[in-house]
Formats: sequence, structure tokens, C-alpha cells
Amino acid sequence: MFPKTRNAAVARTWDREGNGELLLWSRRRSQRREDCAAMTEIGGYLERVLSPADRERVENHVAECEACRHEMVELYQLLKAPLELAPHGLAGDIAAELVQCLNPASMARAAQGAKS
Amino acid sequence: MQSLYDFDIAPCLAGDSRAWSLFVGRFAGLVHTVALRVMRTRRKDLDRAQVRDVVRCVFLRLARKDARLLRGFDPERCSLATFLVVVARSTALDFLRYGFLNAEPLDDFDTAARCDSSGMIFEPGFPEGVLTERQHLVMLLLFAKEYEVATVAEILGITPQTVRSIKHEAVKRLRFHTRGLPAFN
Repeated sequence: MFPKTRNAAVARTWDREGNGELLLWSRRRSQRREDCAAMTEIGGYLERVLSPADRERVENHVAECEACRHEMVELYQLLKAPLELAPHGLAGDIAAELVQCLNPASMARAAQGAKS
Repeated sequence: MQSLYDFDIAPCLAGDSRAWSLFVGRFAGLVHTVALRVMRTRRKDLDRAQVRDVVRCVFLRLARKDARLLRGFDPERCSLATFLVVVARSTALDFLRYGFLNAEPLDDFDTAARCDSSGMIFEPGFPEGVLTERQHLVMLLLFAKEYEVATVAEILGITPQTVRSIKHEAVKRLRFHTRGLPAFN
């Protein structure tokens, strides 16, 4: 049997016409499930801000999904990490750049639209 | 009790540049901390300039297209700080995985990071030395990020036709490179 090396995977992928291309990422996709919780939901679970129903859904899913358990652990570590100061001047540089890409008139319209 | 991260984003969403400056000042440390930790745990030869670029991209991602991404923040789902941590982590992972400084305000940040939880960075399955840097990036954006052709065109500042053309050339190169290799089952 031919070993499942990366080259072999590529060979199979490109031997086929058209849809074969999608096989390239099959390994990656296999780790993601349709019912996986969003990262912000996992964060909300850790912060205890989710509704009881959402909390239970996330809890049940994480109990059986290893990928989401890993995500939850990393997110927990990030949320608990001691804050490090941003390099001097970074915030000012970014703020100056952001001003260039803001369009107050269009944003005010969007904000108004979201309210109504 | 008021938290360090309590912040009213309404003026930012309305395009108030002063509010954006305050927003960046308040959260730059948090975003920088997350980007640094995510990148440091996955890459030994970490370049601090790259961390700065990722932090910059996080804020651009939040502000671009009338702050579409920040507008999608839902306080009933998580706090603003957690929302920013998730966006920062996703942006850092995009950079590590694809060499792609992602300033696109798409909401895929909330799901796309799923597979790197082990701490390992997934290496794309393209053979080395076959694709040019540009072809490689286009293929990653199309097949790994699963962006539409129009989105890739916008990200790279080129026309959709050029994206299709780059993809076509990349596919040709890969097919040529892999011809004759046996398939596996």
C-alpha cells in the first residue's frame, strides 16, 4: 500500500480534474465540525456571560470535541495571560493610520442604520 | 466595578477618530500581548516587527469598511476584550500559517482557527519550489481560507480575472509537478 505521505496526497489531488483540488485540504477540514462552537462563544462560556441554554450547548459540544477543548484551553490561557505593554509609539502609529481609513459620513450612516 | 476594558464603542462605530485613538490606546497592549503569545509559542525565530505588523492588522481589520467587524461584536456573546483576543489570535495564526497579514473584516476569524489548537502550525500541502510566492498566496487564500475569487482580488488589489489567471497557472504547475505520482486510497 502506498504510504499516505504529503506527496501522495498531492498526487491524488492533482491527478483528478476539477473537484480534485478540494481534496488538498481534506486533512485540515476533517478537524472542523459543523456544530463546533464559535471562538467568541467559547470565550463567552469562559466568562460566564452566555445564556443557560447556550452555556449547556457549548458545554455538551466541548465535552465531545477534542479540537474545541484545545481551543478552549488556549483561549483561557490567553485571557489569563499577564498583560504586556505594547512597544512605545505603536498605539499612536496605528491610530494615525486608522484615521486615514475612516469615513465618518459613511460610518455614521451605517451606525444610524444599525440603530433603526 | 469598572473594568480596564469597559469601553463604549458607539463613537468608534460612528467614525469618531478621537474615539478610535482612545480605543487603540486602551486595547493595543491586550492585542499585542495576544499576538506575541500566539506567535512566540509557535515560532522560535520570532521577529518583533512581525508582531507589530499583526497588531496593526488587527486594528485595521476592525476599522475597515465602516468598522464592519467591530460592528459585529455582540456583548451578549462575550466581552469586548474577549472578542479582541479572538480576532488577534486569528490574525496572528493567519500570518503564521499563510504569511498573510489579514486586514479583511470578514467574520471567519470566529471559526477558522479551529485546527491549530495543538500548537502546531499546519503546513500547506503544496510541494516546495513549485509555485511562486504570489501563486502560493493566491492558492492559500482560495483553498485554505476558502475566500471567493472576488475577496482574494480585493485583498491583493488585483482584478478577479488576474486571480483566476494566477490560479490557473498554479494548477498547471502543480499538475505538471505531480504527474506520474501514484494516488493513495
